[in-house]
Amino acid sequence: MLFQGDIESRAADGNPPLPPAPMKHADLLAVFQAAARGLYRYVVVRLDHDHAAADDLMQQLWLEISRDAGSGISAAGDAEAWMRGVARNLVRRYWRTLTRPGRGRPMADAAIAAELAEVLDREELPSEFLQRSETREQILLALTLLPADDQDLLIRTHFRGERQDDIARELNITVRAVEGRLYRARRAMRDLLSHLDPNEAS
Amino acid sequence: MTRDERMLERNFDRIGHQVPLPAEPSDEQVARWTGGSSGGATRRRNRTMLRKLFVTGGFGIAAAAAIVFTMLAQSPSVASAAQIFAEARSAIERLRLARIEFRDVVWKHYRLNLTAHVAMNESGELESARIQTRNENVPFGYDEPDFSIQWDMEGSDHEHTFVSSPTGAWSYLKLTRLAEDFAERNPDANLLAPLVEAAKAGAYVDRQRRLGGKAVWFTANLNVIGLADREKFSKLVRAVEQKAAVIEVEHLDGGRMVLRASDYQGRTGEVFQLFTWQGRQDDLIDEIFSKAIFEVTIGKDGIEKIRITNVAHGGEIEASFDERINDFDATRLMQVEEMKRVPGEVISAELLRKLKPGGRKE
Repeated sequence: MLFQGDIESRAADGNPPLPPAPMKHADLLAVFQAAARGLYRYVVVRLDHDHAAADDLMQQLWLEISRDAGSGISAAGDAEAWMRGVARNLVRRYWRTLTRPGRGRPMADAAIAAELAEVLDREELPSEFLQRSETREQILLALTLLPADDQDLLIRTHFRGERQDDIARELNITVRAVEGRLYRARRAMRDLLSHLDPNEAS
Repeated sequence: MTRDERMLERNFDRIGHQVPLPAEPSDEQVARWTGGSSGGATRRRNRTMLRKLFVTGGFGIAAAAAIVFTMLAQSPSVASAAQIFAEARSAIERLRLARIEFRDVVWKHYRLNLTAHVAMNESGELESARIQTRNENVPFGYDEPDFSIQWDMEGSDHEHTFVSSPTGAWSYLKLTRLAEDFAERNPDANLLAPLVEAAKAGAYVDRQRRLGGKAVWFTANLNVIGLADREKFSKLVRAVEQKAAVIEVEHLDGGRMVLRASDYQGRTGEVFQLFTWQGRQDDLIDEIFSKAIFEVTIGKDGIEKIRITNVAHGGEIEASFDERINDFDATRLMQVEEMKRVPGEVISAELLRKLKPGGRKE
């Protein structure tokens, strides 16, 4: 696989830059497997928690991805974003082909999401606000837009209550690094909520 | 940490406590998405030649062609196989069935040359279909993962999925919309609720184990059956729920369907399933399955043979299994190029025997 750094150094040597080569199958597979759970969450939340449909769509996603072989994708981060884009298209196609489109379709509500983002770091979220399905929907939509690593970190810490030092040990990083990543992930999610695309759901 | 950051952290804790997350996929599920093997032992065991088939029905409501072709397989190649099918699908969709050619495509230990000629008339009916394949061994020196292929029929409630792996190959109609179908057609579909729930919970995903292995085809068939009166099929449904324990004879009104099956566990000969489906006016299902005859022969180790004779489309598929249901041992394709389609006519076995794979007569 040719990484961006290789291309740049080649250019610096006076050689014409090579176009990004398609990812090798093994590299593509590794990226997909690493991101699979995050992608699955992305899909299943947008399919109204229909796990069977999400499961099928994930297979389809891999087929689409392996067919295109990651053309032009030169780094793992890019690849994951690209895969999410493919997943997004598949979700849209899924809803389009439903007999009765719109039924059960999650809705991104920019106003609710923005309201949530607004209060997230200012005041305690009232329980009744969090119990509303619309609120939960915005949270899940935003959470699943994050890169899989950030999703995992937030879920492990805040949803499952895992200890940061355990996570640090597992990831082989310092606790401080975990704190830093968590901080950035929370901020990123807050930013996503404040600018949630109304078309995001599907 | 600033006050804002502390508040953000606390609110994330509240979110974590109150907002339920979707269930996480299992490791096996993740492996299967990419065709990861869940049966290495079987793969090693299953080095005998597999012939696999897939059938695709029409794309869209109008297109009702059944394309069938055989492929020889030993161990799969993810990318190339996926590409083949993706290209085929793309070509079919784009041209609404015309001519598809693959030359020197290496697939699963074989060099595959395939030409498909299909033609449809202006009404979208299949005029003719002919598939020719030439397969040669190619060097093979590495172990490749499983793969799976999906064909979805856009615009329809149903998806026909073909899944292939070294551990087997099977074809089924997607169950995920089943609940919706029944809700629409049969509000009181309690009988099927466990099955639907099982499907929703992913039962069909790992169907060869969780639905008792042999339920694959039952699953597929149920989707068709589900379009008719569920009471007629209560025994079948129960059999599937109980991992296909017993299916008994059902004669339906007007002789429209005959279903005869029994316990496949360890029995030989006496176990036989046959049903004929005369079709309803249910668009795609009617198109594909109308006047099709399914014959499933079940031996002591499971289903030995499935024969589908599709009169409407003038073709027959016969698939045999070795070892297990999902191991296609041999698939024989016969495309009947020049056969006149007479409604209600059943293609005679004698005529079919005269045909060679590829649609050419001897």
